[in-house]
Amino acid sequence: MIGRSLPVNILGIVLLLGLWQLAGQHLGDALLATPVQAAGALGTILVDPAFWAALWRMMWMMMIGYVLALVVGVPLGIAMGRNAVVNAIVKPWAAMCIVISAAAIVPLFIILMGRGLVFSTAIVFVVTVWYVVVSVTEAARAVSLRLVNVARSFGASDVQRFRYVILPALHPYVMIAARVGFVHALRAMVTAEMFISAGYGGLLNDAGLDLSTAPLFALIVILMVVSVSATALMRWVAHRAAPWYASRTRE
Amino acid sequence: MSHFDHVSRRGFLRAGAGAGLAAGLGGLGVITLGPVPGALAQTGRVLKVNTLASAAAINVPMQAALRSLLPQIPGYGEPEVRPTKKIPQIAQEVIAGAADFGDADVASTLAAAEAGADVKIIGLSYNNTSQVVVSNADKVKSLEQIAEQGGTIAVNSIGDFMYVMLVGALIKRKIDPKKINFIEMGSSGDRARALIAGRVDAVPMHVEQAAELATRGNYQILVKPWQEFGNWFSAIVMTTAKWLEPDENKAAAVALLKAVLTSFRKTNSDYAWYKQQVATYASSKELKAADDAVLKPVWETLTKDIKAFPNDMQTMTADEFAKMIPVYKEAGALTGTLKLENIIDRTYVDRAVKELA
Amino acid sequence: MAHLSVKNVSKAFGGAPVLVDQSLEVEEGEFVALLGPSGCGKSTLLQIINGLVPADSGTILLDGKDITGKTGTGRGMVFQGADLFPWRTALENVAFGLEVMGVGKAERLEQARHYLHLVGLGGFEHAWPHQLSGGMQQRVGIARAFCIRPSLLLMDEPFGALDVQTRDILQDELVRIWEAERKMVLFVTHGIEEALYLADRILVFSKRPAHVLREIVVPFARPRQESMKLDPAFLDLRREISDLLRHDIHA
Repeated sequence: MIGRSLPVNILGIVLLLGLWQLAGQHLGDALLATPVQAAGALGTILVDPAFWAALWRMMWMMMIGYVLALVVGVPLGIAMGRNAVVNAIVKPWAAMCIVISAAAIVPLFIILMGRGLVFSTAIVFVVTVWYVVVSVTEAARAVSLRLVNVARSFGASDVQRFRYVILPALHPYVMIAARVGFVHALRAMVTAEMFISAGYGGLLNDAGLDLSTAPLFALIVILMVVSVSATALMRWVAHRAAPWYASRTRE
Repeated sequence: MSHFDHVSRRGFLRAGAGAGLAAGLGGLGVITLGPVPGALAQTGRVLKVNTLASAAAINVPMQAALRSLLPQIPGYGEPEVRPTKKIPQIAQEVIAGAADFGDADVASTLAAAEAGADVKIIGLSYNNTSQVVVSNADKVKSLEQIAEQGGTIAVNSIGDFMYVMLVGALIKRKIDPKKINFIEMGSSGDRARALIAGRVDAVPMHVEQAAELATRGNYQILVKPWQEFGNWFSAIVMTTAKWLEPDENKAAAVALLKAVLTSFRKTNSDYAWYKQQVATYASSKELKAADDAVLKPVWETLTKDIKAFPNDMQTMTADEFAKMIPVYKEAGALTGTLKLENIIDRTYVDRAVKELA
Repeated sequence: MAHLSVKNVSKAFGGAPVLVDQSLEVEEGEFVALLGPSGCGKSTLLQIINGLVPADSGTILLDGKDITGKTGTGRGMVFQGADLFPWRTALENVAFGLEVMGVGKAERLEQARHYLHLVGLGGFEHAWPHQLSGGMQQRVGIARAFCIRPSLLLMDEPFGALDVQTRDILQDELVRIWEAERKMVLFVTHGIEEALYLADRILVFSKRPAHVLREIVVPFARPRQESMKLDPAFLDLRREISDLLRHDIHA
């Protein structure tokens, strides 16, 4: 299946790049730099130590908020999905908070927390955790009652049912939540950095000041590559760790 | 059947939980300890200064003062310079006590004062403004023409100093400002692009950007604020009266202004030094890399036409500021009830000038 | 000596009685079919015996021990849809009951391998459930129930979801395995022929609320042969039960 879609994928990318090139030549680099110009800017950016420092700053700060969001969000989501009381207490908050966009809370968080690690971590956490909570809750609620009953009929205790049925049933969905959550976290981090003009968001701000859009597009392409490779890596890990799910969904 | 040689799920979960825990604890460690290497490198007091997110040619002396001159003054480390994208937030944070000083804009600072905040303007980030209003001369050649066509002008934010300046310029020309649509567009790069794309009829931008844009088409300057109003104050150094109460904070204000004044004087007298600062502190790559053919005229405009870096900040007086107030009133940005002499406080500038002599 | 004794069990769902004061006895090595129209309550009775559904009143004694409302202990259950755990291989599914009981890994996998061979699935130890056909999945389900060596096997329409050919094959397989390891069986079905072919004794249930219309001792000798389905006595019994059920429904 991969063998069949790869040439088609490449064809699609080449076509799009061709269109982009034509449009860029027509509009000029101040409005739409061509892929060739963006590639040139990409080369310059990749040899700039300031770029790697900015990328590193963004990634490690984001990872802390992201990991905290998973560490809190997954258990909370499971608890909400499996326990009506927890659900009743947390769900209104989750439903309200999940619509919060990073841009809406960043100004407030800057005033409350400054602009250091706590601020970045908090923004990433707040934007990501509710997504994780809500998707894990849905998955936990959807765990097949029949399979839970199978375990009960074999005399499995509460703990055993949790360990042998609920956790493995949730595993693929937790991996999906982690993957999509990563994209949410990255977006929130970039937004936060743009407000305080630090790290990668600062680079994006500065590139926006240049009349040529080539450096801006190059930075956006790099961000896409980071996001796509991270999610591809996580998908690969998920497939290795949950082969039953992977081979079932491939069919 | 390649999926049979899979990682054991529980083994994987164990590894994942371990890594997560380690990362989480590591993160907590960093949170509680703070950015350790930075703290150790500092000797002396670290001031928190909010500035604009982007540094244009006119902002460079202020940036150089903060990042390289202030740390040379005994007792002060490199300040925590905090770029801020939303201009009104610069003053807001200072008023909220989250920052020591703001490199803020006049409009939001005076508006905050009218709303009852105890703000003090203690210095200039630069004098006047380097922003000009540019249009595509192939399409429109004057503000009158834009008004007749019901045209659109993009500004950073409605109510900011450039918006007020534009409204003032329109009223001076006896044009009803309501005939022009003002829209908000954050970055001057985006505004330039909107102009190129023909989405707007005119936009404010810095002189160096106007010069760069002129190489790409028939883009001409419609309004130079300093020709309309002499001195059009835009960015100032502000803090709160309450913050200034302790003596060590008063001393800090003087130290900060000494650094700014030194930077102003060096910029005026030494083009080579200024060029070096631009290469270090300007935000735009194009400006950083600008050669003499581009930068020298910019420097001359800034130091001679605009007089952006007065050696003693001598223009910073309540009387000079008072000249702008009627324009702000007409633009509806201020009600005009302020006692400027209570807000503009030259005490610290004067002390700094004396100490530098 | 193994013995199941169900005494005066009643159950109502939301005020509507499903079972009223039902009792039954199963002797060691006896195969009993619970036959009745769909939804009559015979499955509920099975689940009460299994402990998955609490009875409103009545007691269940297995080998003299009161197991009312408890799951596990001596009972193996085969579910209608096999209900295998999708994240466990065939072998790990069969070993599930022993794992819950705390049997060591080597021991339980050896046992599981034995029963997987017994149901004709040697070589499929590492297959995922979704890779198996419906019939093969139910073989795993049967092996899973046998693997804990229960004294009582509970089967809830285990072949109801299979096509006719597969069902015939599995009936023969079940008879073969059961004759090698005789234990008490309660087999819920609405197939008259299936009940006659498999059981020593048939309890014919009425429509809801279920009560036993008639108890039929199946007179055919074991081992049972496919040819007995053409025996006039078989056909007579079949018609008799059919009339009984039809009469009850229209009563």
